[in-house]
Amino acid sequence: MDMIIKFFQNNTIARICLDAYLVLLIVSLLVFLALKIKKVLVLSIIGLLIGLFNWLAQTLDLPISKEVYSFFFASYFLSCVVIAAPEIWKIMDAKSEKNRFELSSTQSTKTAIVEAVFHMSQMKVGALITIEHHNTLDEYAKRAIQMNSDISKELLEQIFIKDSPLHDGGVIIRGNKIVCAGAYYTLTQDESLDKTMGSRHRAGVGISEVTDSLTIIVSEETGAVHVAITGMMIAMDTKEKLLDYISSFIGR
Amino acid sequence: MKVILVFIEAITSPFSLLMRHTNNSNNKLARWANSLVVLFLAALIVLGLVLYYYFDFIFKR
Repeated sequence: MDMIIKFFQNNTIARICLDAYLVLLIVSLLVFLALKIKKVLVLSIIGLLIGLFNWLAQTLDLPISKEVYSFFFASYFLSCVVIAAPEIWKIMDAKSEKNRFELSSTQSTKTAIVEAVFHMSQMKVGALITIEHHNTLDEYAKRAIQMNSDISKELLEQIFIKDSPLHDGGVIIRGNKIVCAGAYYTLTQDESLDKTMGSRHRAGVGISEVTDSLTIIVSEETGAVHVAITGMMIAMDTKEKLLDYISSFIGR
Repeated sequence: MKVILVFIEAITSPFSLLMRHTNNSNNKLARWANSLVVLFLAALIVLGLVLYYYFDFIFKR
């Protein structure tokens, strides 16, 4: 241990490399959080400004600013950790890589989904089907009714029949399996959404805002089919359009 | 040789952990959080700090 300490004390280049490496670890974590979470980016910019004004106050020896800004600067980092903690925890908890085989769906699965959706659209049966991508939907699935069933047109239609105990909430699909039914999502707060869109549409948009999943929504009132992805809602007029969309989404 | 490989793996493991988390994004800003972009920006900041604090040593040796 003494040898290592002496080595770094006598060798400035080694000391610079070690110093740079240690700082790089923490700075890359901060840059990653700042780019991934908007809140952290905003907090970082505010922190830099407070740091700048603090330095200005210290350099120009401004007594009031010096006291105020040094107080804020000292407690700022801890406050940021408390404010951004829920988002940071969500990132640490999320499974970042899903087995690509598990996520991919066969052509028969995609066809079954499309056929079921358009049949339910004709019958004006409301439906909410979420296809998982990289972001895990386990936190929604664990509170829902577990199924782990193979996908078929008939099963999907049966789930959403009005008096079925499974019809309330959404279905989560992972690869070629129905993971669960009766999954509830947080509704979107987006006020630009058409007022005629009900809670089913709002739930579909809501889940697409917080994950990279694709949600198919069938309206109970009009039978219209929409797809919600990254907070946007896109109308699907034909089976071919929906099939292309699902194929390119799963292929990503 | 094994010791060297273990050492290299140990010093690069925080960055490989970071890279595994940077690509599952669902909004425009988060898509920028690509691992190379993160490391490049971090390296720029660290380079600036090293030049600031070790200026005398680097340029007046």
